[in-house]
Amino acid sequence: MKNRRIIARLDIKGPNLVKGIQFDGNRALGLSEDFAYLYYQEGADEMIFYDTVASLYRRNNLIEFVTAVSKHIFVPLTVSGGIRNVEDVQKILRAGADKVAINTAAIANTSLIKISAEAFGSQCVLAGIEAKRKENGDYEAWVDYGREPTGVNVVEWAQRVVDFGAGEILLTSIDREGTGNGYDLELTARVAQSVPVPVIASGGAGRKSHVLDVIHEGRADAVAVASMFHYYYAKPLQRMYSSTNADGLRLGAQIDEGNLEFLNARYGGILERRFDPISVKGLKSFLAGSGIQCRNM
Amino acid sequence: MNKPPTIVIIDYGCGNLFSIQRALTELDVPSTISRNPDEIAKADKIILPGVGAFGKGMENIRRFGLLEVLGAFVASGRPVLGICLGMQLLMRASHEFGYHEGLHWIPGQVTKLRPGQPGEETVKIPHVGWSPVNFNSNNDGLFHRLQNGTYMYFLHSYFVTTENPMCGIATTTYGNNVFCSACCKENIVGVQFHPEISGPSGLRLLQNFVFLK
Repeated sequence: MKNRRIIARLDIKGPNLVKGIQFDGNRALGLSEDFAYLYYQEGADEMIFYDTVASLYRRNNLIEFVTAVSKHIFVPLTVSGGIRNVEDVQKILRAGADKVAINTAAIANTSLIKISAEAFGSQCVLAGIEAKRKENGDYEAWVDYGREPTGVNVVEWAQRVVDFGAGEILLTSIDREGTGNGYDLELTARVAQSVPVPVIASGGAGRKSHVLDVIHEGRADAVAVASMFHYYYAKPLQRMYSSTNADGLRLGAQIDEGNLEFLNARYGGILERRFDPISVKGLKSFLAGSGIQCRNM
Repeated sequence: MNKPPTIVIIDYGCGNLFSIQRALTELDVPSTISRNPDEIAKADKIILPGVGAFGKGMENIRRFGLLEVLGAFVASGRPVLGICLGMQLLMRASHEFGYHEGLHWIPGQVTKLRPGQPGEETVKIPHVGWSPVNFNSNNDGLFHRLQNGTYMYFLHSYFVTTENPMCGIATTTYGNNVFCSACCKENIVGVQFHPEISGPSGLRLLQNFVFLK
């Protein structure tokens, strides 16, 4: 028997949880901390915290955030973004993360995965791979939160990072990210079947059936879900959208002012258009009904 | 209210010590991370954490001069909890990357999980994720107020087989592997999963250890 992990993915900018489409046009949905605690209570099996601007500015802002939330959240926490050297890895693990996902730095410096795995164990080193489909049907690895192509073939890179000691692969489809059109099943299946380590599928979940598809057809060992969860938990607050003083997930004091228009217009219409919001429990019970085992609390 | 016991988390350079300490802090249980033999000797309970390779773990325990103080601690009858590699080290020996002698506290061996034969269900190794823990016996202490089959978080490639079946107090299934996920012999308990990152169930198990006599 094999159980699938349902992982909540939080893309973070400053204090806020953000969500964009194809890694662009990020909007703040609320305070990351509030969402993280909620996802823990709701039964998310793990969490991935993705620092969306870390690579761009060559720093990781999540140290304080992880230090705070890891005091009260007791499921595996992965930090991704802006990890450039083994000292960064150590700082993030010390702050309370259980794993790091290394992307940008790994292509620039292929030994970082190896050194980190030797120093801290493969179990806490994930290779983050962001993939974009090419015209010929192959996939290319991109870096810097989907901003820069590398010319590296995704399947070959996946096999290499496992040789270097990566314990898992966090595989994100740039084409599907934030679209709600479903995971890239072919990408996921190709990578999952080429490597002996678990593959976490990320990017594209808009309906619960997408999650089932990426487990069956994509052979994903674990799935990352973002928008479907975010919009479910943000949803009850829509009624209060005219108030910026209300306590709640999407109306923290530090939320970007530029977002108000977006939030007031029902998340820019995204709710109606692309996503079927679902709770963590709702998704798990749907999967259980479809014969997929998940942790229940 | 009784005074909480003094718990020392053994720092032998092979473990996620801080996540265990954070979990104990959440339970209002003070703990110390230490490799100082005097501190260890004075503890009420010890936790032997561990991630990584068996050989390296034993080598570090010897290198930091901890074999003697740990042996004396166990002989005194005070409770010991081994987590993941810490559970495996309790055994007689391991076959991970060659043959390595363990702590010999519980007779048993450590061997590798099998991915499965062609035609069978195959699984990836390491086993990463949440799996149900099925209690073989009603171990009142460690499993108090936990539901049989509760999910815990695993991350391992090797597993323990105790010589005395009575020492295996819980089993877990992964692919075609049915392995011992918790063991117990007198004052020594071990768990293959990570209670410190297994949500509310994991915290409850740690709390149960804190209350063990």
